[in-house]
Amino acid sequence: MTSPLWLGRYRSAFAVVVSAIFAAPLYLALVNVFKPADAIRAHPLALPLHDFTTSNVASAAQLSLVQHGLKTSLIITVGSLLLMVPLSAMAAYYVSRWDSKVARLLMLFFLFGLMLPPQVVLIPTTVILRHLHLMFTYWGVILNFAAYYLPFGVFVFSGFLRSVSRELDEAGAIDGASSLKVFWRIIFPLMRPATASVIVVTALWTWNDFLSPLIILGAAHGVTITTGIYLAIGTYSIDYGQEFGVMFLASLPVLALFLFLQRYFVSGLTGGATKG
Amino acid sequence: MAQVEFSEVTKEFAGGVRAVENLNLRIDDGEFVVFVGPSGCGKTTALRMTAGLEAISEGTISIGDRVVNDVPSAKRDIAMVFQNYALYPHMSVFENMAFGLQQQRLSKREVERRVRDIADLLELDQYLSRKPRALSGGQRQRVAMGRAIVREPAVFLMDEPLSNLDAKLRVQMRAEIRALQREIGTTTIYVTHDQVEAMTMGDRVAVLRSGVLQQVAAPHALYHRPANVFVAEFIGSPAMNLFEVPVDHGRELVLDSSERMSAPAWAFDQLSGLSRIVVGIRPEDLHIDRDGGGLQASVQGVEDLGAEVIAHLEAESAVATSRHIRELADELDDPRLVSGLRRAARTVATRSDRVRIVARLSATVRVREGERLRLTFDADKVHLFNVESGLALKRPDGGVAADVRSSLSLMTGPSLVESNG
Repeated sequence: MTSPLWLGRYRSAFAVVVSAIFAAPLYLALVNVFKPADAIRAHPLALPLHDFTTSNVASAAQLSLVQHGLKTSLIITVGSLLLMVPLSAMAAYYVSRWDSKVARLLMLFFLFGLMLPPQVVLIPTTVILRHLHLMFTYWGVILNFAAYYLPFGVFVFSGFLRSVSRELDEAGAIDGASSLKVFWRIIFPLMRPATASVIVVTALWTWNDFLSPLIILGAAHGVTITTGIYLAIGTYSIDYGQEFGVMFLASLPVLALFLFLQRYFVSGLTGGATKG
Repeated sequence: MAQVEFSEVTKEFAGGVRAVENLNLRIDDGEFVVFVGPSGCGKTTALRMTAGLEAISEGTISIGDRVVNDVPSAKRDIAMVFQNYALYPHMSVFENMAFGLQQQRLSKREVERRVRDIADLLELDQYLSRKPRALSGGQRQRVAMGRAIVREPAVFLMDEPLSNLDAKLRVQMRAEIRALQREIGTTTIYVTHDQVEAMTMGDRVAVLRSGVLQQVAAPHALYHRPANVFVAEFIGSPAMNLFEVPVDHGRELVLDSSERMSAPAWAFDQLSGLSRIVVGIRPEDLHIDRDGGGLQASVQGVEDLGAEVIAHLEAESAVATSRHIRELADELDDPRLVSGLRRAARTVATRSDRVRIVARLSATVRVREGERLRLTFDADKVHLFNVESGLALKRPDGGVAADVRSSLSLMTGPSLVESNG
């Protein structure tokens, strides 16, 4: 067998081809947002050099469906994060710092949660929500997301906590702080990279989720930007241009969040892999 | 300010490892006690149990008048200085020092006053707004101390606070910490593996080995009246010379086939019935006698330190042995065995099974490598230890048993046992 770096001189060519395949949809979306509708139909692959226009984005922004959808998505995503991040951080702190049977069992429990596909738990979740009279409410969707992504948060935070020295916990305890105080005033501020990556990744998944808002919230009671687009395509006869404008607006918030927090992103996921 | 009492304290870890075994020790209010011993001796575990960072398996620890076994760290009224300082990285020096006071719900003005006072005392006033990563090692160490001092606790606990500093800074900080403690007067438990630190800083020093307290006494007593072979070997640098010799008629020590010396008179009673005894003699108590009596030895190496000369010798005695004692020395994680000369002398001795001797001679004495000479010593400078138990034979002036306190004598001037490093 030849060396792992096979393909030799064709390596770069291969990389370019694969990248092109992955980039193609992105490229299509980006170039066509700024072209008028007929130009999109005529030459979908061309760059918007002669006919650059922002009218697509503008008309999309005026759609009540889009405005409502963005607002709902924002409420649900922020709500889920506000609930999930502190809870998973605290759970991770307990699970990684306390040396007890309960802690170890809990960790296993969370790891199982990580392995569950969302579709599998969606129906049982609706049953629970119905009992709690939370079906077709924002809270229902928020609780669903917070619970579903909690294991992920615990996983990332407990990994990162390995690189936070226990001596800090001890110093805080000796200084007279309760465990809760030690966590919030000393440990949590030191986990910023982990917090940033949990926020970005969870926001991305929550924002883009289609199934949960569709099933739990229901189109009659509210639309997120994802279900909104879906409905828009069928219900209204919008032209291509406006559709692209809608998609563009839908991606913007999470993209902005990512750019804002990106320097923490990678270090957050890998922090704790090696000591210090 | 309070006294600390250890009563039958034992720590057993999962798997049956007993890190601390039946520790009984009373530390008086205002005393500075050093726990010293090789790695794994239990000194840090004992400290952490006092801090509440380790659970106590058996026995009780009391701070002041109350037993603190079940009292959480936050409520024990203690302050700790960690080996790695454990400063809060995201907080400024001021905030680091203020944190503990804020937990006590002190007013903002009081917090500010106390922090600034201590910062002035420790010369940290210009650094109050800096974060720990912008400070040098010595400055961080002072912040760690300041954080402890500012809380005005009943007890200070220090876990090898100087080990991360360079040698020069360490010597300086040793004196500063001791002076500070005298001024403030808080009871202090200080853990170190460095016997020099222990001897220069402690009012009393507790020597531990494998979880068992060997002896606790003022540095002077530890040096001149070690309770057993371990303490004798551990305290003092260069280490005390220890070797086993036969005893004749309970009165004479057989140094060699033709060489004997009379045992000290106080030991006659205890020597009767014993066939062998461990003799200990400090390097500075050995004298060169080129043609008289004494122990015949050959010079393996010479270290000229300017003010004095350290001579490494090998005894040519056929009856004196030190294999048993060398096993003891091997188990010590001895940082003093750094000199390549010593290491070489040791390797040679191990192969030849001869007794190694270290002598401390004045600079005017001339010895050369390879030279053969005789070493003499006074009977009253001799330390005697039982071969089986390793315990010192009792002296008429009382001696010191393992957990009996000697009188509290404060170290004032340069220590008698300062090593030449």
